[in-house]
Parts: sequence; structure tokens; C-alpha cells
Amino acid sequence: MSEERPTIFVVDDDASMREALKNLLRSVGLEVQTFSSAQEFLSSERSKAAGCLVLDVRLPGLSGLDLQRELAQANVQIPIVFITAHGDIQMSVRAIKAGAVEFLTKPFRDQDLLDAVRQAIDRDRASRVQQAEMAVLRERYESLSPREQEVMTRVVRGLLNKQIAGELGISEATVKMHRGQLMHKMGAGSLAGLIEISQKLLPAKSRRAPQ
Amino acid sequence: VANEEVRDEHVEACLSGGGSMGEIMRSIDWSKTPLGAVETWSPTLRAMISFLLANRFPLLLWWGPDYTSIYNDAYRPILGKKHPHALGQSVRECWSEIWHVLQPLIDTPFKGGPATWMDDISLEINRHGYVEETHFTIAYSPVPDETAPRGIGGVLATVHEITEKIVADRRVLLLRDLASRTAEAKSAEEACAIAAGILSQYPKDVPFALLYAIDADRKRARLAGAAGVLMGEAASPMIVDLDGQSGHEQVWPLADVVQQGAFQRIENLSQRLARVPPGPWSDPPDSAVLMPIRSNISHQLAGVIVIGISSRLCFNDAYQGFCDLVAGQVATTIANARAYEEERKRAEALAEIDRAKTLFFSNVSHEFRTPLTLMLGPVEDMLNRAESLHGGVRKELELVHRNGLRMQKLVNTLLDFSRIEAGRTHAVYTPVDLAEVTQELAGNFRSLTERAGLKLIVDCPPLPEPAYVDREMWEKIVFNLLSNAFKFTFAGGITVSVNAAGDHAELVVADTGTGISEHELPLIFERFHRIEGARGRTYEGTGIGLSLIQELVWLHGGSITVESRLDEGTTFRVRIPLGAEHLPPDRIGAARTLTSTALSAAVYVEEAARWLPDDIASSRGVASSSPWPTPDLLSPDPAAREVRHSRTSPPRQRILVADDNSDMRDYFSRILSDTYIVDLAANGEEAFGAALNSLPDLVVADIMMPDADGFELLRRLRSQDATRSVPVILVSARAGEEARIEGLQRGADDYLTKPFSARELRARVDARLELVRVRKKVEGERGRLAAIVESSDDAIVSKDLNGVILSWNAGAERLFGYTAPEAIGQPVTMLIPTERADEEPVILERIRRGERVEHYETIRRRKDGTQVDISLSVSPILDEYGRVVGASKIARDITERKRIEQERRELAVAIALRETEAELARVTRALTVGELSTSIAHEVNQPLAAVVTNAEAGLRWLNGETPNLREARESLALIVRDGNRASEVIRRIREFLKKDSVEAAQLDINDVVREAVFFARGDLLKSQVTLRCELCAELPPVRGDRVQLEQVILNLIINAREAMAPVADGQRELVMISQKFAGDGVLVAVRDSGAGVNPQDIDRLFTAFFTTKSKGMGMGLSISRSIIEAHGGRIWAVLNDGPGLTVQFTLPAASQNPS
Repeated sequence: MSEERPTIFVVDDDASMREALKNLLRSVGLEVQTFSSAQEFLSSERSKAAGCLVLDVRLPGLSGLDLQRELAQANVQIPIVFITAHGDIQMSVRAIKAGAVEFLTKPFRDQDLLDAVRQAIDRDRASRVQQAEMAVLRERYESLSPREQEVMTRVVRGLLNKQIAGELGISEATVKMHRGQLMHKMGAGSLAGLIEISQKLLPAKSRRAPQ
Repeated sequence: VANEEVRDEHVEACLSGGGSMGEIMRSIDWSKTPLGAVETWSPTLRAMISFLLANRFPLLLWWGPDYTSIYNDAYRPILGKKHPHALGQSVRECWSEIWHVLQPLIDTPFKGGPATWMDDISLEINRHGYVEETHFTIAYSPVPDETAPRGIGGVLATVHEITEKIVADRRVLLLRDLASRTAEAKSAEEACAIAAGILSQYPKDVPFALLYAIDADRKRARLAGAAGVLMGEAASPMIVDLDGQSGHEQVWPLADVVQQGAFQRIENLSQRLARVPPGPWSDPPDSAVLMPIRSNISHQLAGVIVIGISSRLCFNDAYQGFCDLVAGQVATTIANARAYEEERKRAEALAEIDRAKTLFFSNVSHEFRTPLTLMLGPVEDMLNRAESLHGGVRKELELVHRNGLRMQKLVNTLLDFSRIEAGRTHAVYTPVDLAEVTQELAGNFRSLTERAGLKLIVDCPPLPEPAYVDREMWEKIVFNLLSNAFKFTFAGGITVSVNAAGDHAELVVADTGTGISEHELPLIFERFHRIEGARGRTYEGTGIGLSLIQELVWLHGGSITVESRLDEGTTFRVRIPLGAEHLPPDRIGAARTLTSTALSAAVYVEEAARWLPDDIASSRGVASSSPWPTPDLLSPDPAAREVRHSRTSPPRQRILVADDNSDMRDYFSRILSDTYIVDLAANGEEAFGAALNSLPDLVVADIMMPDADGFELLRRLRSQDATRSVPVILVSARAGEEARIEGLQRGADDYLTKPFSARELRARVDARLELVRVRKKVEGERGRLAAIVESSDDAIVSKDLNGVILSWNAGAERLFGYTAPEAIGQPVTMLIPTERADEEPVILERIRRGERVEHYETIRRRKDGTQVDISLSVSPILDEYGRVVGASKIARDITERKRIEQERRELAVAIALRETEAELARVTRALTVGELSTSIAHEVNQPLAAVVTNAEAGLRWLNGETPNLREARESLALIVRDGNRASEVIRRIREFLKKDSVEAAQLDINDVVREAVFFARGDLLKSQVTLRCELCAELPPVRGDRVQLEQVILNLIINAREAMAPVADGQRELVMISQKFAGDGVLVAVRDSGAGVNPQDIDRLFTAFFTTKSKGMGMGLSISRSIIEAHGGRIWAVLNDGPGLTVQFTLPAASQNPS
């Protein structure tokens, strides 16, 4: 988690527009990298700093919407602000549904763009923090022994030690031992804390409500 | 053992007897056949088999549902090699090759239908190792069997093979045809052709045949007829060498056949010939026979016939015998035809000899006439100057004259005779009072007979109706009979009578003379027959007089008979029918076309008078009492004789005489020079020069002259303007009507036959010159008129009421292309185009009513077939009684006027069209802009958005705590640039839309392409079309209108984009290509990856209102085409190898020196 200045990636096939956007974003102190096509963007070395993508919907070759889809598939989570010279509602709905931050129609008010970019950066920041937390939790979970993981799963499901012992065919005392170990390893102070962690961490299927 | 015995009993019961078939049947273990063991057979089957085996007629039993075959001895030959396997075999296997034919015939009775019967079934079966043509009479009947499922156990076949009979009948028919139908052949070739035609109708016996006739020199054979194969193919060479000199292998060994005179059989035709004539069956013949065709000259063949042998028949003795008969029949036919041909040639040769003889006769007679004219003319002149003659000289001259006349009579008689012989006598029948005419004619002999002491009784009572006779001929009949009677009568008298006898008139000339002996009587009308030793006043005679009279009588449809007794006298009876029904109508009152051979009565009387002793003849002065006989005497018009006297003398006219005979020239000169100036020339050449030198008023020319003959002189005179109208009289010794007609046809004004008298010549010359004088006067007036007509620019034509062209001026020649000689006499409809054919009857109808047709505009056809617009005025021509007899028409060429009118119209249309096109182009451009509106909006929006953004950025740079002036300035520069860009876009659009005049400028076509792409690229982007440009950098400049060309390219781009709409995302690709084309032109192509079009629509794409789009006017490509074509280019579409269509156009490079 660095404190680098966020970078804004501008993808627009129109040189004037690229320059204007870069000018505007720079004027509020943002780092800007410009690309004339989706391909160029995909194949570029991008800075790891937080930021967002200002993307023209209509591009030669891969369109803006195509790029959005590609990124989602590659699990690249970068917020997108769409700009278009002539957007239609259908297109904007598609874009927003697919997770776009904003959909702006050219010419737009500079503040609108800047707000959208700001929002996107915030979202990116938040998501990056969340991702960092998750990485820690995942690391901790990985450090559990298989038995401890089994016990944790059942603890989180709300089973009593005795029940867990019964299910796993071990003594209650052993359960207790594992339980203590895992609470420690996971950095959970209480059962509630452990449940919170597990909800962040565990895939949906193992998060099924105990019933 | 017991079982065996039982079986034996059964066998004995039903398989006993039956000859060899019975034996075979007994030897078979039937239990292994579908019929099963014998003891299981139904009683019916057993009964049938014993019946069948015992029968002597070919019988066959098909038993059970498999139709298992059982047959008897008599049936075995029909099977051939199929025996004995056929026994117990299913018919389906046994007769597999004809099963498709047999099945329905067998099934019908077996399945309960009626028995089947066929009189003659033709089957192609294979029983001797080859497929064979066979014919059978068959009867298939059901065999009821209670034990069988359907109550029918099988089918009994009664079979009778009739192949031999059928084939033999057919061959007999062929031979009969050959014998009967070739009889009419008139030549060997025809005989062969007919024979070949007949043979080709019997392909089953003669699949093909070639008839070769051997040339007279025996070295080659020629194909004279072919059946079943075309002549001159590889299998049927037209010529075959027989001398064996030519090295290559002959297709047919005709030479061997000719040498050996015997037939040959050729096998394995398929190896010999690349293509064997196919014949009627599926397999072509494999062999052929070559049969000699004998001629009526021993050891010499007339030819060879090649006969293909049917692939479906065995070549046995019968077949060979048949071929022999065919060859024999052809030989007979050819021999007959040759005999006929030779007969005909002989007859023709004889007829030719006869013709030559007659011609010689005719020529000789004519030749006599020229010297006769030269003799008689001067003599006659001398005698006319009677007072200046010494008595003795006069007598001698009279002698010359008399004998000249006599010779003329003989020559005329000969001429008559040769005319009759050649069938060229043209009698002219006129109704006459025969009694009166005959009385008059006979009267001429009265003084002569009286001087000879004879009595002449003329008894001619009036006849009830006129008789139709040729006067000259009737005169000859009467005079000849009378002088004949006078010749043989020394005492008593001559009776001439004419009486009506029923519907005939009868002339009787009876004398009391020496008579004719009985045995001579039948011969006296024979040509050249003279009665030997007959006692008469003279021995003179040719023996053709009576024969000629008989011919003349026959020409009148009459008859002549004679009765005579020696020393008692002779009576001739001439009977001719009254009335005209028996005569050819066209000869009644017809014009006389032949030179007259008539002689005056005086000639006969003079001649007869010479037979009298001199004292009687001279003392009475008979000769001097009659006028000099000349052909003039026969002239019906006395005025002609008077011309000479009524002639006005001054001024003296000039006559040019051309004759190669100097005597003749002198004669002409003597006759004519006292009245006219006479120029003489010895041939046509000389005469023509003389005529040019000093223009004669008349030319008299002999036809037969060396160098240039009379016809040639005539032609030359007529070919020159100066001499064209000089009248020409042709003179010839040839008296024939053809010569005369020929002369007149070639434009002679008159025609004179030798001999002619001085008087006749003068009369003709005078009359002709008088005519010339009158004609000249008329011509003077007419000439002025004609000059007006001739010089007119308009075509002036006259025609009669049938539409036949009568006159034709130079204007008409100019307008229609026909010269006057080509046009005159032709129907005027030749000028009228077929589609206007109905105009002429309407015009003629109006003319007949006396109306005029004025300034009627129509179309006529020239000689060269082109059409011409004319304005026509037609007026009726009236004769002196005011009747409409024709029409004159004035036609004026109005093509030019029409053309100008048409041009004006076309110009107006063109201007309107151009305006419409310009308007249309503008509308289409507006539509294009409409289509591209989002794209264009994008192009404007883009810089505008940039301007706004940069301005905001600029403000921010300035509003910061420490205003960043550098960045602000930078922003302003960007604003200016983008603002300019926006206005440039607007400018271009405005230009694109506003434009309506065409401006040609030198252009880089790539710029135009780029500009168009600029307008369209937003549109393409939106449609997710990938755009690629492959523009050639080194293109020559083109000359054209930028906006129009942009419009075309934009149009193509929009079309391409629309064509790609149905294609899946990611597969829309548009390629813009420019490249060099054909040397110095450029080509622009717009290639899409769309749906393409139907190949059949590809040429219609550029047609107005044709569209493959669901919406759209179908104008875009049509306008594009007119723009490109106006630029001298071409636009077309081609389907890509892959998906899509490429539309491309070419433009010529701008010339080096733009004008």
C-alpha cells in the first residue's frame, strides 16, 4: 500500500481529446498516462499506483465496452469513467451495470469529470485497502493446519466443542486445543471477530448459514 | 426299399416317355429343387408334366411361385446352350436377359389374370453365345391346381419361334422395294442414292451399307450411296483407290473384291474402324460383307457394295444369299439406269445434229439475201430509168431482175422451211373473206393461163363466215397450187373454188393435166420428194413446195389431200376450219415480228410465164405490165411510198452510213446522196469517229462489221451526250425476229433487213428524219422543262397508277441513290420502308380521285437501305382527256431539318437532364450527410469537447495558488487549434452540401479518399467496422471535381457499412484501396466483408432505382456511375473471393497539358 500519487489512464483515439483530458487532469495535480487504443492500454506497462481509467466508449478495434469486459475477465479491478461523444442510454446502462463509475457525455463539465475521477480514485483506494486486508487474512488462514481449518469451519458454523469433537471423531480436549491455536493464528480476539474474519475470507459456499 | 418302389411308381407315372427330356427329368433328384421330391408333387403337376413331355409342340411349364422351368424336347432348340441347365431353373435366371419383358406376361396369368398371347414378340436373347434378334409367337396360360395357394400352380407356355419367317419376310420386302423403287432412276448415281435410301430403311438386316461405283478408268471407286452412315466419314471414304498404289491401308479391301470378283467377309470391324457405324442395336455390327456389283459387261464390275452384318443375327447361308440378292438387284438397277442414260445421250446427240442442220439452213438462207439485195436494188433502179435504156440492155436487165426475183422466191421458201423446222414460224391470223381473197389471188393467173390456151375457172361463192388465215401463207398456198397446176397442165383448164363444207372452208384446185401415178401419190407431200420423169412445163423444182404448203395448211389447223389419175388430172383439196376456236388466241391479229417472206403474185406469174415458149411470153409483154415487185408493195401504208415526194428539200441533212462491204456502201450512197449529205464509214470504229467529227442527223449501220459492230457503234453513240439522240437504223442480213428485237432493245430506232429495195430504204430514212425533226422541236421544249426538273434539288419522280416509276431526275438519284436506269420501271414501293407499306395505296387512291397530296412528311428507304426523312408532294398526271394516268411526286430531303429539330429537342432534354442530375446529386449528397450525421457530429463534437476541457484546464492553471502561466498558455494554444479544427469540419460539410457546379481541378485521389474517410470514420466506428487504407503513394494526379468524387467514395463506404450490418461483430472490415490502373489511370476500390450480392444482380447494382437494401432509393450507385462516367472512368463491382463485395472505379490520369 503505497502513498504514490494516483495515476489516471486516459484512453481516447482522438488526439485533441487525449491532450485536453491530460491537461485538465494534470491541472488538478493528477498523474496522467494516455493511450490511443484499448490494445495499446492492455499491452502497456502501467504504474501500480492507485488510479482510474478514463475511457472513450468508441474506439477503433476493441471498443471501450470491450475493454471493460476484458479487464473484468482478467480480474483487473480498476474503476472506469466512460466518456463518449454521443452516448445512448442503452450503452450507459451496460457500462454502469458492468461496474463503471460514471458515464459522461462530451462535452462534459470539467467538474463532473474531476468528481468522477476523484470518486473512482477513492473507490480504487478502498478496494486496494480491502485487498491488502484480505491478503493478510488469507495468509493467516493458510498458516492453519488442516485440522485447525476443519475446526475453524465448524466453530464459525456455531457448533459446540463437543459437537465438533463428535463430527471429527476427536476428543473435546483436542478441539479446545485447536480452537485456541486458530483463534490465535487468525488474530481473532473473540468468536464474533473470528466470524467476521471468516465472512470476509471464506468463499460463499462454505459461508452457508448453519442450518 | 419300400420307399424307393413308391418313388419309382410315381416316376413311372409322370416321367415316363418324353424322349431325351424325359430321360433327363428322370435322372434329376427333384427333392433338391424348389419343386421338391416327385412324390410330393401335386396330381396336377404330374399330369401336366406327362402331358408336356409327350407333346411334340414346344411347351414349357413354369411351376410354383419361382416359375421353375420344365420343358419338352420340342422346346430345346429355343434354349440353345441354355439347355440343359434351364431344366428346373427359375425362369428369372434362365431368361435373365429378357426377364423384364417376360415377367408381366407370366405374372398376369399366374396371379389370376387372363392368359397372355403375343403374335410376334421380338426378344433379344443370348442362347448361342451372342445376343440374337428373335421373334416368337407365345401363349402363356394359367394351370389351375387346387393344392396351390392361389389355386394356380403355374403357367404353361406354348412357344413358337418365328424368327426365320420374320427375317425372311423383311428381306423379301427390302428386295421388293429395291426392285420397284429404283426403276425410276435416270442415272447410275441416282440409282445408288435411291438404293441406299431403301437400304437405310432396313437397318436390322442392313445396319449399314456403302455403294461404291467404279470409275470408267477402273482405277478408283467412288462412294455413290450410303445407308446407316454419313458419306465421307472414316468408315465411308468418298474415294477408294483400286490400283493399290497408295501405300496406306484401305478401310475396305475393294481392290481385292474387284480383282477376284468374289465376295469377301471382313470381321472384327471394331479393330478396323475407330467408329463402326452403330446400326439399330446397342452393339455395332462386328462384320461386313463386300459384294461385287456386276455390270452388263462381262468380267467388269459396276461397283462394290459393302453391307454391315447385323450384330443380332447369325451370318448363315440365308443371310449371305440375301446379300447376294441385294447386290444383284443393285447391279440390275445400275445397269438399267446406265442403259437409260446412254439412250438419252444418243437422243440428245441426234437432236443436236438436227438443230445444227436447221441452224445451218437458216444461216445459208440469210447469207443469200445480202447479195440478192445488192443485185436486185441496182437493177430495179436501172429499170426505173427506163427511157435512158437501150432496148437490148433493158432486156438483159429484165432477165437479171427476173432471175433475181426467182432466186429470192427460192430463198424465201427455204427460209420459210427452216423456220417451220425450227418451230419459229409465227403465223398471224386475221379474219378474211376467204372466197373474195382467193378469187383475187387466182385472178392473177388469168392472163397467163389464157396465153397458154388454158381455161381458168374461178368459182368462189360467198362463205357464211370469215375464215381466220395468215394472209401471206394463204397466198403461198394458192399461188403454189396454181403454179403447180399450170406447170403440169398442157390442155384443158384449171378450176379454183372455195366452198363451205360444214364448219370448214374447202379450197379445191383441180387441173386436167398429166396427173400423178398412183404409187407416187402418197409421197408427193414428202419433203424433197420429186416425181421422177413427170412431164411438165419445166424440170425446175426443189421438191419442197408441196411439203411447205402442207406445213402451212397444218398451221391453220387444216388438212390437204390430193386425188390424181395419170393423164386425167390432179385435184388438191385444202380444208381449213372456219372461225378462230382452233387457233392460239395470242396469234390472232398479232403483230408480225418476222421479216416477211411474201412474194407478189407477179413473182409466181413471171416465173410461170418463163415456162411458156418465148414467143408467147414476150409477145404479150407480161413482164412489163406488172409493177416492179418490191417488199414495199406489201406495205399497208401507201403514204410510206409517198414520203419521197413530199420531202422538203432544204436544209440538206447528213446521213452517216457504216458498212464493211464497199458495194453496199456505194449502193447506199447512190440511193441517198441525191437528197442527203452521205458520210461513209467502213466499220463502227470509223463511223463513231466520223459521228463525233461532224454530227449526223441519222446513222445507218450494218450490224456485222469488223472492229466495232453495229451494236457496239450504237452503244458508243448512245453513251455520248452529243450523239445520244441521233437516230440509228441497223441493217442486217439476219431476218430473224430475235435479231430485230435485239436491235430495237439495244436502242436502235429502226431495223432494216437485207434484201431491201431502194424505195424501202428511202422511205425508212425519210420517215426517221421527219420524226427526228418533229422530235427535236418537241425535245427543245421538253428539254427546257427537263432541265428545270433535272436541276431541281428536289427529287422529282413520276409514276403510273400502278406505282411503277416512269421518270427519275438527278435530284431523285441524289436523294435515293438509285440511278435513273435502275429506278425506271421499278415499283415505287421499293423506296417505301416495309413498316410504311400501307402509305402507297392510300396515296394512289387519293391520286386516282384526282387529289393532291402536299407536304406529307414521311420516311423513305435509300438504295443502301438507310432511311431518309422526306417531305412529299404528289400530284396527279392527266392525259389529254383529263383522266388520271399517273402521278408526279416531289420529294424533299428533310433529314437535316429533322436532325436540327431533333438536336434541339435533345439539347433541351440534355439541359433538363443535367439540371435534374445536379439536383439529384445535391439531394443525394444531403442524404449522405444525413446518413453520416452522427459521424459528422462526432467530428465536430470531438474538437469542441477538447476546447471546453482545455479551457477548464486553463482556468484551473490560472486559478491555482501560484498561477501556472506556461500551462495556461499551452491550454490556450490547444483551444485555438481545436477550435480551428471544429470550424474546418463545418466548412467542409458546408462545402460538401452547398456545391452544385462542377469544377474540374487536378487532384490527388488519395486526398479525396482520405477526406471521404474523414467524414465516415465516426460512422464506421459506431458500426464497429475496422477500416484499413491501402493507398498507393505514387499515383498520377487525376482531373475531376473533388466533391463529386468524395460523394462517390462516401456512397461506396456507406453502402459497404450497410452491407456489413448483418455480419457478426469483429468481422466487419472495410478496406480502402488506391492503385495504378492500366498504365496511367488510377483505381479506387472499396472492399467490404459484408453479405455481398447475388451474382445475377451485380450488373444491375448501378441501375437507377435498383436496390438490395431494405430502405434506400437505389439512386446512390446510379449517380455514382454517372459521375464516374462523366469523369471518363468506369465503375463496377466484383464479388470477393472471401465474403463481401468490392466496388471499384477507375479514373484516367490528368493529361500532361490540362486544357
